[in-house]
Amino acid sequence: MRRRLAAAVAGGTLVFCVSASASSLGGLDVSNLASGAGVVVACDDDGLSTSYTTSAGKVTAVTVSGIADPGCEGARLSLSLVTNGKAQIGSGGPVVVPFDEGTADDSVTVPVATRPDVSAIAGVHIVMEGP
Amino acid sequence: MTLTVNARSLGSRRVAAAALLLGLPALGGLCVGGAAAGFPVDSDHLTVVSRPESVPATSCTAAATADTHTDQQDRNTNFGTASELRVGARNAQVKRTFITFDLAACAIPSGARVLSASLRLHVATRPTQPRSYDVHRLTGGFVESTLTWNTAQPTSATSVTSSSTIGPTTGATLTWDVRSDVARFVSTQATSHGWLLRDATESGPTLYQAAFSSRDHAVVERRPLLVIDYYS
Repeated sequence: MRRRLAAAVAGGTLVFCVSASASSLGGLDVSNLASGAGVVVACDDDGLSTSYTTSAGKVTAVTVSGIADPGCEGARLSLSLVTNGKAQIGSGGPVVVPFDEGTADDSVTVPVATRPDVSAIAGVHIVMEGP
Repeated sequence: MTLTVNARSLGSRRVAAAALLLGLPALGGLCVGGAAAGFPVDSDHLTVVSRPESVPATSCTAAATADTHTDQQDRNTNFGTASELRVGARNAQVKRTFITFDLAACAIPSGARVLSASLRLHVATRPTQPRSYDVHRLTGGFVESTLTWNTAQPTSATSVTSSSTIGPTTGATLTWDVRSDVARFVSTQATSHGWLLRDATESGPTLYQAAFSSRDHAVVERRPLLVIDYYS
């Protein structure tokens, strides 16, 4: 599920809030952050896909694909892997989304140094900053 | 779940996105405080995706490469090309099935973690009373085209890998959990010789017999399967 976040400005402090039940957390992205000083928008608004590289039952890397091209080229992508209890058990990045001449969606592979156990992973959080 | 992005310093192009990424799990959801540590956002783009997700396992389905049964009452007959695999119990009329699969075709790496492994046989004939059938890991090979009751029997583990029960009216397919054996094959990269299938109680005055479709059965969907799920 994707939610667009509306902006609210109060006394110079910008606060965004969105509520959803845990069961409805099918995916959440910040598509538009705005303030009086400027606007921050998502470079990709049609979702990202993930695939996992594993070794001996451990995650060694996550490949994120479906990254908008050219919109996200040059962005720095980081991610974290969490348990069902929201504990972070792995992270990786930032990895820069490469520039290319094509217009097909891009993908990047993010090494996960901590090599978390695959069976413990219950969620993923991805942040792309830029370009 | 609540997501709060406090962009108090958005005017200076800083957003607490690092906390969104790194502090969020500890906070039990997407929640970023205003004074949380952040990293500079030098552009106009910030894309955040958060979702529940598990790592999908790899699945492999292996077909039998050899299967047959032996018959104590028909000691010199080879059933390697029969369309049925028989398991029977009765004094002097015992029947046992031997089956193996091409695990190598699955190319499971030695460090893989086997999540599940199921031996599945289609039931062609049910016993007249509920019976339990045991599978034992074979420790020696057999030749499908020559194995009989009277030839040297392949060696097998004395311990039962798993047991499944079938009655006279239920079950089109019988499944055995052979995860422990497959995990052993994978971790040691040892040759898998397959399994022996036998009635848990072979002796007795009454004949109880079941038959399963073999790899020679005309209907492909009824042939034996070994289904393995694993993390490489």
